Amino acid sequence: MKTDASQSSASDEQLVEAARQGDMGAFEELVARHRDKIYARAFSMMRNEDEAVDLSQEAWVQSWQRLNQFHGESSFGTWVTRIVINLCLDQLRKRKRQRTESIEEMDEETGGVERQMPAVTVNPTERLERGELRKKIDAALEKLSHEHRTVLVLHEFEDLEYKEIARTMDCSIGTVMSRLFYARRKMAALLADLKTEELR
Amino acid sequence: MNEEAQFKLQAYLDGELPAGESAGVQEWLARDPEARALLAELQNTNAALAGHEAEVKLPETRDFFWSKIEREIGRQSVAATAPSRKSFWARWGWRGLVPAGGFAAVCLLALHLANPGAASAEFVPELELASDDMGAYTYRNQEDGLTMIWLYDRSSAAQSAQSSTPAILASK
Amino acid sequence: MKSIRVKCLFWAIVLLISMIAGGVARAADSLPVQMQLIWATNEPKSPDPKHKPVEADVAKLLENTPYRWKYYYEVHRRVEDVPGDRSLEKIVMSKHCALDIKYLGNHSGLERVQVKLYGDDKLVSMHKETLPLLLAGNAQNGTAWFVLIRKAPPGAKADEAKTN
Repeated sequence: MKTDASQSSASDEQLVEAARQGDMGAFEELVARHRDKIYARAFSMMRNEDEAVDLSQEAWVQSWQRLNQFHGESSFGTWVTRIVINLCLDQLRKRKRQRTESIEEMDEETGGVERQMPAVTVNPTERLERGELRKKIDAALEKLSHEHRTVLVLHEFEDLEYKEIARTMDCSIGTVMSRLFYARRKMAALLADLKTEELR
Repeated sequence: MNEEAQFKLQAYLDGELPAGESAGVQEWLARDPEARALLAELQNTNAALAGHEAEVKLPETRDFFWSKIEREIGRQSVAATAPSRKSFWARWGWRGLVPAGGFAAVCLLALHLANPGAASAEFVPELELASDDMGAYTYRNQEDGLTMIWLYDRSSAAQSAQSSTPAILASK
Repeated sequence: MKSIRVKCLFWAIVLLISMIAGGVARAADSLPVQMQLIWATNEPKSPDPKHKPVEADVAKLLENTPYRWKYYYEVHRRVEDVPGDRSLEKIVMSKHCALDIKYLGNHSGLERVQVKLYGDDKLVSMHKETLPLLLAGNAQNGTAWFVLIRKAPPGAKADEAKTN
């Protein structure tokens, strides 16, 4: 299906309204505009390309079905991002139910080796140029657990407050604060190339 | 420094402290170098993350990705709009129960014997892959009714690179 | 009331017999199907002189897919009457590729089939789809393979004899 020139210049609000009336071309234009952002959010949480593609596809299908529930309280892109985040969290929860809890997972709440770690004084943004820093951050995110990565993504990239994160992750604000704190400390150690063995 | 203090420092950084507590944290920072060092670390990590998320793009063409979404929307809307049936009671009432029930049972048996594979009125495409290492993308072109299924090796780093799926080509 | 019940049961039995008869007849239906193994490449010439460019209508189908190459060569073609009551098994398309295929009947004007794809004698995938169906994947050096399965056009059997 090809969209016409008028749709590519229409605002998101106009396209949403047209899509609500059944205009698939308008919805396709919305998908084209926001697909990379939605995929990027799914990938940052799942760290797997195929899963991220599947979940972002599912998010678009759900957003079509729920268009009448979008009231403009946020931008359309943000609204679909919330849908894909919830889908990712559902998927992560399903995986967690299938695994037995490991020592590493218990450390997420209590901090593990980061509890004793002295403050990292190296500032990673000083040493690295932008492209290198992005790669390093991406590699560091890869090494975090799902819970640590999720809370960082929601707070640092989605700018959610503690209570919104708690609602999204279905946990208490205290758990959010604990996970966020230890996720940040772990990131600091990874960005400074500190091996955890050195901290014992 | 205990956990409660560390979390308070974090909340101060994130602007999540309850009203009136910021002044107390500022006084604490002025006299405690360990607290200042920890705050600096949290600030550095924040600054590193802010605006440095890796830019990733969806690894599928616009048309291909859209075709899968469109197909799934179509499939789900067909499943949702099954025709409604008139109330049996409105038509027949209690007196029609025996012949109508017998008629229905015979029809069901006949349908099963005539078409054992057709459990539902709507055809639902199926796909099964023999290995967890394989994946598939489905694309449907509405104009000519063509369904394309692209099979790929999940373990390959790039899907356009050389594939380790079983060889299909080579002449007889 | 008793006569209505008797009449309902009578017509139900008639319906049962005719549907069984119809079902048996339907299961015996077959569909002429053409299967083509196609190689896609950006090189203007195939190293195998037996390969020939695909026909214009096939080229048009392939050009409307998301993955495109410049040239498409037919490697092998088979035309078979595919029955509805059992699978045609191990239809050999190449040294490495074979298909099982079964006709599942016509649904809303579209022919449906069940296809199993084998590579090196190992089952790769199973599909229940409408026709035309295109299975595809990567081959060596940036090329690709396609298996195009569609209802055989008129005169397809004669063409198969000419090309193979």
